[in-house]
Amino acid sequence: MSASSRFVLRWGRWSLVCERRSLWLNVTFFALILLGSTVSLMLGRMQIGADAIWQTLNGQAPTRAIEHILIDIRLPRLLVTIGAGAALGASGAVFQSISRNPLGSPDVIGFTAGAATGALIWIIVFGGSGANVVLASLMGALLTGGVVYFLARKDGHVSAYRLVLTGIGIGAVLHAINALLLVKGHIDLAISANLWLAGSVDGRDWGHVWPLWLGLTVLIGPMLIGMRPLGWMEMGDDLAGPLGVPVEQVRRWMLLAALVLAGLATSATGPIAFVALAAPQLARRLTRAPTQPLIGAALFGACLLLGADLLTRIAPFDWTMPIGQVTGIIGGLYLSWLLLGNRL
Amino acid sequence: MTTTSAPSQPSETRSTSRLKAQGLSLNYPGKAVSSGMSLEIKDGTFSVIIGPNGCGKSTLLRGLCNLLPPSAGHVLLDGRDIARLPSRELAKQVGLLPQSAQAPSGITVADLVSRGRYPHQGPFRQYSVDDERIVARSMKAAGIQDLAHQSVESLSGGQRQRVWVALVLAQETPILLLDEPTTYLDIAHQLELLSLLGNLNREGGRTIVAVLHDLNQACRYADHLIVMKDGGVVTEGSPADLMTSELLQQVFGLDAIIIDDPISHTPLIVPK
Repeated sequence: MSASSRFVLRWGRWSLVCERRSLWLNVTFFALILLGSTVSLMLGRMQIGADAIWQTLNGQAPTRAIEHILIDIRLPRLLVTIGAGAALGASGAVFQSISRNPLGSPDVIGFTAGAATGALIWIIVFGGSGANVVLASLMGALLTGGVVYFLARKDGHVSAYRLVLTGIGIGAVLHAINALLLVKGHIDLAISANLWLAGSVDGRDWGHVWPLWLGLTVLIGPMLIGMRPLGWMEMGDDLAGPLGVPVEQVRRWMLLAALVLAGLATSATGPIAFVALAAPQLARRLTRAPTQPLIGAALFGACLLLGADLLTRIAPFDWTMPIGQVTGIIGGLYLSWLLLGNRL
Repeated sequence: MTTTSAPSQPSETRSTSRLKAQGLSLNYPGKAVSSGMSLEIKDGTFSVIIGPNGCGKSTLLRGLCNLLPPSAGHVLLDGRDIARLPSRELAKQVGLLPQSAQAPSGITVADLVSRGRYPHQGPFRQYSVDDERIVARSMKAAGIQDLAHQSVESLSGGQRQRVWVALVLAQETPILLLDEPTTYLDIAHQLELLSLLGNLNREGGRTIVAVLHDLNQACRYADHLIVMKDGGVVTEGSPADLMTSELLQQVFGLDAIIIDDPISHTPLIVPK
C-alpha cells in the first residue's frame, strides 16, 4: 500500500479523505448496476428493446402494454432487487465492523430469522397478507434485534463476542419457532408462508419499493457518518474511547440503523441468504481499505443480488427459481471456500 | 488570597494540578478495585505509578480518562467533572495509550498515526492541513518518520509501540496517560521509549503518567512516584525521598537494598 492510496479533498475548512481504489471500484460497481438494470428491464416473456425502455422512462412509451410491463412489473422488481441488495450489503458492513468478525452478519446473528418469525406469525396465525407482511417482518427483525442487544449487554456495554454468540442462540430458537409455525399452521397458509420464506423478488410492486428506498435514503447518510467512529472502534474500545469516540452510543445507533435496513430488505423480499455476509467481506478485500467500506458494500450487495436475479431468470428452467435459494447456494460455497482457505 | 479559591485558578506555587481524583471509587462488576482514592497529578511532571500486580494501577488510569466511570467520587479536570465533559473535549486534554490496541489490517503507519487526530476532526473535517502537519511532527518525535508509508503489520514490536505512541502524540493532549508502554519490548527499546517520554515531558512540557513494572526504570525516569497497593495510594513523592527498603518490603514483600545508581544517581534497587 502506498501513500497515494488515499487523497484528501479540501475546501476551506472542510476536508474529506477518499480511498483511490474504493472510488474506482464504486464507479465500476455503479456501471455494472446500470448495465444489469438495462438487461433486467429488457428480459422477460416479452423482450423490450433498449430504445423502448429509454422512451418509456422519458414518459413516451411506444405502447400501453410496454408501459404497463415496464412501470408496473419490471421496474418495481428491479428497484426492490437493487434496494434490498444495497440494504443488506450496508447492514452487513455495519454488523461485521461492530462484531469485528467476518461472520457477523444479520443472517448469522438471528435477525433474519426474527424477520421471518414476524412474517410467519402474521401470515399463519392472523392469516394476513400483502403490505402488512412487510410491517410484521420489520417488527420481528426489530424485536429480535432489541432482545439480542439487551441479552448481549453486560455491565452497561456490549462486547462483540457476546453479540455474535447471543445472536446465534436467539437465531436457533427462532428457527425452531418458524419450523413449528409451518408445521402447526393451516396447510394453505403454510404454503403461502413457505413461498415468502424462499425469498423472492417476483411480483413485487411499488408498495414494496417505497419503504425500502425511503429507509435507504434516510439512513445511508447518518450511517456514512457513523462508519468513521466505527472504524476507530475496530482498534478497541480502550483506544477509541479516550480518543473521543462515544463508543456505546455509536454502537447502539449504528446497530439500530443496520437492523432497520436488514429488516426492510427482508420484509420486501423474504429472507435472502449470503448477501449481507459476503458483500462487505468481498468489498473490503477488493478495496483493501483499512476500514469497512459502507458504500462499496452497498453497491456490491446490489450487484450481487441483481446478478443472482438475472441468473435465475436466464437459467434454463421453465420456472423461476427463488432468488433467496440461489444466493443461499452461492453463500454456502463461499463460506466453505473461506473455511477451506483458512481465511477466518 | 481567599481560602475558597477555585481549583482552576492558577495558584502562586508552581505545583498546580489540572487533573485530580477526589474520593474516587472504581469498580469492575462484582469486584471493587479501589475506593475513596484522592490524587493530584502535578502539571508538567513525569509521574510513574508502581505497585504489585492487580493493585489497580491500570484501573486508575482508566478512571482518570473516564474510560471506566467511577462508582463514587469524581475526577476533575480544571475543576470540572470529566464524566460531564463532552467526550471530544476531554479527548483534547487527556490521552490514553491502553495496553491492548489492534491495528486494522493493511493500514499504513501514517494512516494509523493520523487516527490520533480524531478529537480535532469532524465528519466533514476529516483531514486538515494542520492534521497533516501534526501527524508528520508526531511521527518525527517518535522516530518513525522513515516508516510512514510502510504497513504496520510489517513492523517489529518496538517500532509498532512507537507508532502507537505517535498516535497518542498526534492527539496533542497536555496530559498523557500510558498503561505499561514498555511491555513486550526488549531492554534497549524499553529505555529508548522511556527517554522519548522523558523528552516529551521536559521539552514538550506535557504531563505524563505511566504505569511501569520495572522499579529501577521508574526511579530513573520519573520525577514523581505514585506507589499503590490494594487499590489505594500508599505514598507518593520523588524517587529519592520515597524509595526505602521498608517501603519495598511493605508494598511488594520484597527483601532488597537500595544503592545509588552510578549513572543517573537515582535509587537503584538490588533484591537480596
